[in-house]
Amino acid sequence: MRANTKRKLSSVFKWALTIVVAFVILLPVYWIFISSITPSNELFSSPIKYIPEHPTLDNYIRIFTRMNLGEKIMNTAIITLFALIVSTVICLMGAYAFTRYRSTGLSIAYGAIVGSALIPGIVTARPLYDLFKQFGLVDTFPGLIMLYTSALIPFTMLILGNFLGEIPISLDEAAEVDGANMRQKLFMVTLPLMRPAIATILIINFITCLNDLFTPLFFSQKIEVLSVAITTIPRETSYSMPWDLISTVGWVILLPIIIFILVFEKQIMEGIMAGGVKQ
Amino acid sequence: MEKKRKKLWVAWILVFPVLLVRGFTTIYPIIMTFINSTYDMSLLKGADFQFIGFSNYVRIFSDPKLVTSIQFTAIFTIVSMAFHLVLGIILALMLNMKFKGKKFLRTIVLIPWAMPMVVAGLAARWAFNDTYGLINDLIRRFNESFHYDWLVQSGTARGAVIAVDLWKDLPFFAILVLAALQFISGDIYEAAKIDGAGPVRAFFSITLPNIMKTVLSLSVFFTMWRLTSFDVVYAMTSGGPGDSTTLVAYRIMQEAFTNLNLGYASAIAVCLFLVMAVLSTLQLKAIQKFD
Repeated sequence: MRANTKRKLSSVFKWALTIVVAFVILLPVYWIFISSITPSNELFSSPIKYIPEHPTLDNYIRIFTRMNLGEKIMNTAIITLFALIVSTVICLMGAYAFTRYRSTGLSIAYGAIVGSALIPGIVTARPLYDLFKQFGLVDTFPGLIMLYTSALIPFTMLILGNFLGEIPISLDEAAEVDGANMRQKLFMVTLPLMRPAIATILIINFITCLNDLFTPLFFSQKIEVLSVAITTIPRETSYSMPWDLISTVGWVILLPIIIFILVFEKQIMEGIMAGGVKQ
Repeated sequence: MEKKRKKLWVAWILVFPVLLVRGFTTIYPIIMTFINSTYDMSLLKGADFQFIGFSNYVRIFSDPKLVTSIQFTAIFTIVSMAFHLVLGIILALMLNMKFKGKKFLRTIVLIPWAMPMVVAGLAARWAFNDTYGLINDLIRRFNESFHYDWLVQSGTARGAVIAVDLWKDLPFFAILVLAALQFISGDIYEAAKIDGAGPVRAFFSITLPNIMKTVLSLSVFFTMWRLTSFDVVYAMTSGGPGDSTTLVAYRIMQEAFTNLNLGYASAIAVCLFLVMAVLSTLQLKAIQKFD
């Protein structure tokens, strides 16, 4: 009987803590959502109505027609897609070399690539901007894709390198004995085994790309991505900031992220932890 | 082995693209930052750059704006890290609890981590608004006449910036601590329980020593990220009121891209880089001693 009450009390305690955390995290997110579907005249009034009385999609229509948000979504999608593909392919190649070949030079190169994650963007930004300008890469898709790719490399290399290092070379050798050539070894032995690691890294890198503000803010003016677009919304009302439209664009960014988290919670968790433990 | 050595060039070809992209975007610009820091490169004055040695560095210590930035960056980093350590470990312990809400809890803590800082920052700018903001609205549910403009007073603006940084990054810290918690075997706790150790005692003599090394190494990374934080202030306060929330990283960007003082911006960047190098070396040394 006493053990039973104790277990119940502990369960109540755990749920109470969970509710506090959920409140702190979810309330602001919910507030952004209801702000986006509240008509402006109700939004700029106090107190806040947590259940909107006249929900409307007006703000969404406005951001797509007047702000041309579709184009910005396309820009973000193109840059993210190419950066994901390029970074994964070249890091897979690199990881293969780093784990299947041994030399001092290669170890130094691996350390330098992963360690370069600690070089802050602000130290390199201005000279890099001038360099990109000389090459005509500022404000172009190839330039932006290159910068996004570069930012993804250290973490991708760390995760793929660790994972590939755990796949025994004997599998490769067995395939070789069976007469498999380089391409067959890669596509029929190694890559299928790498699938979970590749999926995890793609999910985390996708979120990293959406999060990047620094790169597009300083390296492009005409090609606007979502994270920059939300900071350049013109003020339509007399209030100090266009919260009606900001909350709407914010929710357009948040929705795919939240869906991703709901679907891939386990993989994201494991991916983050895999990176952390080995650091 | 002989065969492997012969084929080493294959490895370098495979590694080449990664090295090229990473090298192009880091090595050259770092060298240039060091060189630029010794020139008077103010684009507004013209393109005739003068070599001025360490004058840019001397200017750092006599620039009241930058002194404010350094002060706030130090406060921001220290206060934020203190909360990261305490609340982060508590949240990690919560994520490790065995109960039916485990998946729910683990799912929601991913939201702040995945949310772009610029979205969180802009939302916070409005949330701390006196009349329409979420924060004051909640307070007014208990105290109807409450009015306060958080981001207009420098003290509370600084506090609010730190709060938003914690809201966004604490879950990430906790997840990484959770990784270490999961390595502790349940047997040790069972044994401690039999020996009559309560949960508090178990935490201090089993849990904490076991996760300490991970927590300390994480602190190195999280400290470095605080020192180079930029997004939160850009989105939330634009460095204001006055310059009271201008983090050093934000100051560098302003000098480099708005005021176009390239030489001066480079000198600040070099100093920040050196501070980071020294701090992380010290922290890593401390961790090694801990073993």
